[in-house]
Amino acid sequence: MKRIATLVAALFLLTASAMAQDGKGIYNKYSDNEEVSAVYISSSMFKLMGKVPNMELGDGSMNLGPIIKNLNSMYLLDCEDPDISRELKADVNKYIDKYKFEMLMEIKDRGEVVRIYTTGSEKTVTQFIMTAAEYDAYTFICLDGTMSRAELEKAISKATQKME
Amino acid sequence: MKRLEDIEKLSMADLERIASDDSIKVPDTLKRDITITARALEMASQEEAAEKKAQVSHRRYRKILKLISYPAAAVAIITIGMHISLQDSIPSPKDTFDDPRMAYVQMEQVLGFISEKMNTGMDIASAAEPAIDRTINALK
Repeated sequence: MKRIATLVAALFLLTASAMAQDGKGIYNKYSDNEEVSAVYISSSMFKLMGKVPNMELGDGSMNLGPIIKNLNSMYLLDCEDPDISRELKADVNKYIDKYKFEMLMEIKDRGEVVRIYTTGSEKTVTQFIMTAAEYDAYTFICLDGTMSRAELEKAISKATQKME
Repeated sequence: MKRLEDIEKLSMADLERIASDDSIKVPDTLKRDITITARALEMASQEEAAEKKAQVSHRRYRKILKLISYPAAAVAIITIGMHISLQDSIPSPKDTFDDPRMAYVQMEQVLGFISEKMNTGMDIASAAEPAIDRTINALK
């Protein structure tokens, strides 16, 4: 009986820790911290935003605007405290490793390391994560929903062609 | 050909006489046949022992399985229940904005930020392209 109780407790802890390691769990863990700027946009808000005309973003060649149509939620955490940044980074990395995210792009520019990850199937991206890490700051952006991988790849290749 | 019972009825003296009789030829394959028979017997007994061992372990395995099946089922049910209740208990965060237009502006900024970073990455990649081409051409 003791063994069963131990097993149940271990499974409980495992389940609890797994729950803390998704976009929502990470957001919930850090959003109330005073050192962290947090933004959450829910699926209901996205439905309301759907009525707003398509957005055109900046003057760069890459435009993620058309992809927004299919988003369900967005989590953003931005932190400039070195200790919390380190902890947040570790939690995000755990999440990325656990759910086998694929790295789409890594940009190292003037001391900042930006990484873009996606997960989903061959045809659909179900989650898009961007992390931006500097010496003592960390930004985590998680876009949740279904995005067409073809649309995303098309946007990237279109941007590449424009640059050529 | 003598039968086994006939041989058993022979006296020791008869047996010694037959053994020393050179006129009776020993078949050439006798030694090989004896070896094969002995090996076959040995293999059969080994197989029997292995079968017995497997039966014992199978019985033991079934016993253990029977013993742990009920607690395992209970643990599985509890875990699934806990997982569902935990999932429900994690509160959905509250929307940062009440006004969809504000949310839209924020979303525009976020997507703009991502696009900007991706553009920086592609700028760096395209700037490096001539150097990569030169290296490839030099290696050709």
